[in-house]
Amino acid sequence: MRSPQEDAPPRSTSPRGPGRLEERYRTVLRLLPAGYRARWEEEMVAAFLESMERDDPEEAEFLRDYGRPSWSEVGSVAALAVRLRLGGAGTPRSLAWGAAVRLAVLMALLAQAAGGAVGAGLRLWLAGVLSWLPDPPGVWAAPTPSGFWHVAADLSGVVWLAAYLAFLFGHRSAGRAFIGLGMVSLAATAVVSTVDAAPLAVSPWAALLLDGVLLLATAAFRPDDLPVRTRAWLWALPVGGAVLAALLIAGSVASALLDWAGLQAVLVVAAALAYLGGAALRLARPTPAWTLALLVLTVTALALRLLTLVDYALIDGQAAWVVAGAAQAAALLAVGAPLAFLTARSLPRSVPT
Amino acid sequence: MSQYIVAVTEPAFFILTALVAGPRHGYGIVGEVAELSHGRVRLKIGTLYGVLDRLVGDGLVELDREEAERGRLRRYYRLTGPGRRELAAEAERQAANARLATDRLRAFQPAKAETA
Repeated sequence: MRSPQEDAPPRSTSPRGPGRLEERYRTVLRLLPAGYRARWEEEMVAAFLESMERDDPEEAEFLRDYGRPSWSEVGSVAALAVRLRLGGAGTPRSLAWGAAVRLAVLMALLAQAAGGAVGAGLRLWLAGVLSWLPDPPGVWAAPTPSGFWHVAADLSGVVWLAAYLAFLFGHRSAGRAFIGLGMVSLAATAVVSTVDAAPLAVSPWAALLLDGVLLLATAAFRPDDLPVRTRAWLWALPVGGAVLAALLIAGSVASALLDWAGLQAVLVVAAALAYLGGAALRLARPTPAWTLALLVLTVTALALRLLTLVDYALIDGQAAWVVAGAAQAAALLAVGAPLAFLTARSLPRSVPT
Repeated sequence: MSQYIVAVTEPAFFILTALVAGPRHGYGIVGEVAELSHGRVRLKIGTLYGVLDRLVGDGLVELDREEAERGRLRRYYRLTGPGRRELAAEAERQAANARLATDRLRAFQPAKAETA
């Protein structure tokens, strides 16, 4: 028996030629990979048009010329496109993309989780709850805002820890829910900053946008994926937390111009340098998935850095921050170039279908 | 071969069930699934063909025949032997889960729990 993969069917249209509705649906289908479209497009169009048929000839005519695919239909095709492009198509290229995006998501969640845990710990330390620790240094002695909402906002970072652990242990839906929860807190901050016309008002929106991208990227996690190497990723959490805490303390003591976007840039550049150095010294063999994952993170950190620089550029007397941010962006570009070169060389090419 | 070739999601379960009675084409499957689930599961076309692609790829469903209906392509799909076995195994697993929950609920009814 012939399977639908073996050949593409002839173009299927209505006897009166394609209407605007069909053309619009075909435009939506262009989100899908070409190979998949070649196999399924005609059937999808036929099934969609059949679902839009009406008994009333006038209504049918109207729909044919002025109808549009519903948002839920567009959403189902978009979700399918993301799944296929991140491994679901089963081609070497899509599998490499899927593996890379999963690694990038885990690394981004690791940074957020470590940041959330360190932030919450810092808040408790400054509040004097962690009395067994030495007193905070004098530069941090300024009173921190109190009140339920301020404390809740400072402690809300721990939802990223929950999100990270959820993905490590295969609870994808719970992980996405925790990311959504983290975004709610960030959205509240962004709205308050905008309403109050506070300085640095672009930064929370930029962070929110990238968290939305992160949420979409979790589509790369599917039920039939290989299990995550949980133990290694669990060990990375205290190590990442210690590195972040050390960077924060050192940055504060040295009065370094390091905000959250800058901190992320430093972490990504350090990880990329370690990876590229290991490859150059032949200590570790680069893989397409890790190279692409680091490239994705470099591009993301660069986007966040450039967007957040707008805030500093809009405020007088922040030239030093702009220069520091530009230097971080330049460092990201410097590690991004060899990563892009390695990716172009190692990523499997699309197989013509 | 593993017991479960694909993760049998709810849409996959209903699509396989819709094909038990005989071959159906894409929109026919959508209608049958809506009827089987009493309107609860309304498959979008993108969802249907995402699942169908995997089911065909895993050999649980195969092409039966092609027809042209008013100038449009209709491809009919049918359940394969492995597809039937996979569906039976999944149905048994779901039934066992349901029995487990029902037995637990019977054993721990509020009135009994209070008197215990």
